[in-house]
This record gives sequence, C-alpha cells and structure tokens, in this order.
Amino acid sequence: MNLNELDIQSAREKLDSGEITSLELTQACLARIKKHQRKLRAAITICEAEALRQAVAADKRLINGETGPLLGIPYFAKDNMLTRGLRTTAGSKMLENYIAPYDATVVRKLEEAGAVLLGKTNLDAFAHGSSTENSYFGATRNPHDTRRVPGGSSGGSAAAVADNWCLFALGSDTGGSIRQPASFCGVAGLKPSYGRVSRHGLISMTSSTDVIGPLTKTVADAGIVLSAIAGLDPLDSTTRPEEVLAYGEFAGKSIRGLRIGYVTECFDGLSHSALNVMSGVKNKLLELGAELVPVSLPHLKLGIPVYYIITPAEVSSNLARLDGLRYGHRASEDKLSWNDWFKKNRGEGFGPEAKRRIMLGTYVLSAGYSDKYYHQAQAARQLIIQEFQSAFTEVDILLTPTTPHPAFKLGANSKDPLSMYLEDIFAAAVSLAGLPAISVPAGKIAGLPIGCQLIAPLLGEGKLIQAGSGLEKALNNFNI
Amino acid sequence: MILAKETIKHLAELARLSLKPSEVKRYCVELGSVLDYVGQLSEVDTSQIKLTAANSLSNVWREDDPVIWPEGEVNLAKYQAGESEAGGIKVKRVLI
Repeated sequence: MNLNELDIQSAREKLDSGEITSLELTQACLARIKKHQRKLRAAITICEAEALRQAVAADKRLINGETGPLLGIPYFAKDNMLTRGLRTTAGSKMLENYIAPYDATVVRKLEEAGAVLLGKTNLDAFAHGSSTENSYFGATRNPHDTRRVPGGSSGGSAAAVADNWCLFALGSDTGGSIRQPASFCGVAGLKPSYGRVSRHGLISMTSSTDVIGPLTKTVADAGIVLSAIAGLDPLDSTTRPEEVLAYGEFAGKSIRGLRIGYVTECFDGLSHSALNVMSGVKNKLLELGAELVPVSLPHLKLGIPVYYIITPAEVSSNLARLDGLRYGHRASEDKLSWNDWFKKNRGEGFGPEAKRRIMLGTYVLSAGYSDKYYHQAQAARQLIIQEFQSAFTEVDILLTPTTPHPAFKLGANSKDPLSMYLEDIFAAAVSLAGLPAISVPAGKIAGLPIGCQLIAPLLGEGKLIQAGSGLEKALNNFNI
Repeated sequence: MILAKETIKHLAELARLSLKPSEVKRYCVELGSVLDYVGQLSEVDTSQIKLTAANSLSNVWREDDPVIWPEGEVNLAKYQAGESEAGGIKVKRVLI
C-alpha cells in the first residue's frame, strides 16, 4: 500500500513506532497530488516547500518522544479558510491574489497539533454551489468518474481525500457543502453542531449556519479531526463552551438499543437503486442491534426555500466587505467616479452565482418584501427546529439518504440555478437547525458512490461517530 | 415570475454591482424563478411563531480597547490595500 493511502489511525501507529516518517508520508501525498492535479484539479494552491518543512518539524517532535493524534499527518484546507502568508482565494476572481494575513483558528490549532498543510482545495466561489462548477479556477472532477462533479462546495476537499492526496481535508458546510460532496466522492464527511468549531478565519457565507468540519477516509478519523479543531474560541463569539470530547473513541462502541428514526419523506420518490442502497443501510443497522422506526418530518422539505431566503440575505451582508479597497479585485480606474469604480470592482470580481445571491438577499431584506420573505423564512425556520427537537424526544438519531442520487455530470445543472439548489434537499434543514450530521459511504449506484446521512441532536457528534463507524464496518465500505 | 429590468438594475445599484445588459436580462429570469420557488413559504402557517433573535448563545463582551496586531500581519494586510496615508487607506474622492 502506498503511504498516501493510509488513514489517520493507521498512519498514527506507523509514525509512533518509527516505521514511517512524516516526511515520507508527505512526499507520498505530494507525488500523488502532482500526478493527478491536472486530471482532477482538486487543489488551487499546493505549498510543497512549506509542507516538507512542516513534515520535518513534525518528525523532530516525534523523535523527541512527542505524540499526538494528528502529529505529522498531511491535510488540505478548503480555500475559504485563511492560511497566513498563503494565497486564500475563496475560489473567486475577487480574491484571486489575496494573501491571508492571519491563520484561521482551525488552521492554527492543526499547526500546533503538528499536522502538515499540503495546500488549499478548490470550491464553488465563496462556497456558493453544490458542484465546484462555480469556481473561478474551473471545476474539480470526481475521482470515480472524471465526467462528473465531485459535489460542492467542498468538492476539492472531497476529491482530494477520495483520491488519496492527503489523509484528511477540512471543508465547510452551510447547507450541505461537506456532506453532499462526501456522498458523491465516497468518503466520510462530518458537519459538526453550529458553534462546535470556530469560524474565525473562515470567509463568511451564511453566518448563522456556516460550520467547518472534516472529510476523511473513515468515520473514526472524522472524530479524531473534530477533537483537534473543536472548542470555545474568544475570537468567535458563536462558539460553544461545552467540553470537547475524544470523539474518535466513540468509534467501535456498540449501537445495540440505539433508536434510529428513518425520515419517511426522504424515501418518497427515491430511485429504485437509491432505495436498495438505503435498505441495505437499514438492514445493517438492524443487524447491529439498533431499533429502526419511521419518523415523519413534514417541515423538512421547507429547508430549501427557507435556506434560499436566509442564505442570500446573509450573503448580501457578508460580501459587502468585498469592495477592492482593503483587499480584493480592483478594476482599472480610468475616469470612473467613486461609485462606478466601486461597482466595477464588485461586478468584475464576482461570478454569476455570487451576484444572484447578493441581489436575492438585497431583495428579500428590502422594505416591502422583508416580511413576506425574510421574516417568514425565519419563522418557518423555527418550525423546522421544533420539529427536529420533537423527533429527538422519540429517537436518538435520524437517518436519511445524503443525496437523492450519486454525482451528476458536469454541466447537468447549469441551465437552472434552482435545480442546483435542490441538490441539498436532505441537507439544508439540518444546517438551519444547527444540528450535527455525518455522511457515511452507503453503497454504489452504477459504480458511483452514494452516502447516507445520520443526524443527531445538538452536540451529539459522539453518537454520530458511534453509529457511523458501526455502519461503516458492517457495510465494509470504507475502501475507496 | 420574471422580474422587471428596473428591479434588477435597482438591486444592482443597492448592492453596488455593475452588470452588463446581457446579465440584467438573464437575472430577470433566474431571480424570478428562485423567488417563485421560495415564495411557496407564504403558504406555511407561522402564526404561532414568535420571532426572536434569542437563542442558547449569549453575547461575549470585552473592553473596547484597541488590540495591536502583530507587525507581520499588519504589513501583509496593508500591502494589499493600495495607497495608504497617515495610517489610513487612501481612496478616490467620495463626495462630488
């Protein structure tokens, strides 16, 4: 087995025993990256020299007898997370040459833990999208079928993990952007509870739902990374004070007696093959001793309309800072007035999806429309939240497919923005409620991976690792 | 619905976005389609919901004292800002 094909737990054993070095591990990753970058385009920036320097530093620490879950482990960060001194583009022309002046908290934590940053992965610009086709740098390809998308917006991260470019990657999930690409690429993707992981240094999209989380080769690995990046941060006042657990240690715990509710609305209208995959999942959960009951969540389907009012509203506010003054794209001035130059910076710097969302947001927040759209959406959001809370008084975990189908072909959803929005139909409501969820590889349809989603109550990440890893082992599905 | 060109132009002005005529045309249709879809929320009965900004989080306060950034970070930020003068960033004349 090539070293870059290792998962975190296996690499940890070999690093600690001295069987391999972080330098060897990193070099194996870099070789793979160079071989496949042109074919897959999963990375926007590869920081080879810096990665090798970090690997050598990690090896020094290991020789000194130090150990740590991620010491010497190579990873990628999605390019909407600030990495000091390194280009951070948000996948957009607007920030094409932006050098981040500081590290995101998660990047700083991983550096202290001795993880090795390989580079920054591709994404839909400003995380607006479900395919990476909105990236200014071109779409990433799905490693399982390069005519297809890897999903999005964390498509680069998902593809990088699936193709063994790294041992884990960081993504961000606002309405499905970790889980959906994880499903499409056949990897594990964990969206933590809102506030579990600091957003300091994450380029804001929807401030009330954005979360950073790991994409990994195994569910246990996702727990290990979560423990390293989670926690209260004085630089992000929306982070939660609750103790960070050793989430990786929930893997392997029995799920006998766990009550799992499968959401009936998410099974209506599924294709025959998707239903087969989900039946397989249900059977394995039953074999493991879990109880499976049907649960109805009639408000779940409101997730997309609510999300596509609240998200553009918050996006229109968050992207207002991108004006070419302190940073970002600057149009040539010629004889333009202040106002015209300002508009041109933004008009040239933003792609169509960003502009759509900014204008939609402006519309739904404006006088005369905010009651009908924004306030109504926030009210409907409360209905979604209450419905989940009520469901969790009956069951411990909820089960849905992550996506209704596997990866679609490049260009398939280009004609109508709405068809792209509907890709997150099972994911968005979870984000609106701030709940944790994980996508676990569940099977294949015509050779393409598809994932199932487990949802837990707030701060229930441990249960997700517990159930997810049991399922993963039973499905024997962690080999990509 | 299809939004009127004037609506798109007005939104673009409010959001400080320059749009080409072809863009205006396209967004009339695309935004109209999204608004039709999200407009289905009008049918949802939210009469029992009392809107509040409160949640389980509480505000985090600190003294309003300036915190000096590390010099390296300041320089990285400043050099990307264009012309600076007296500690500020110089921009074009705003008021006519």
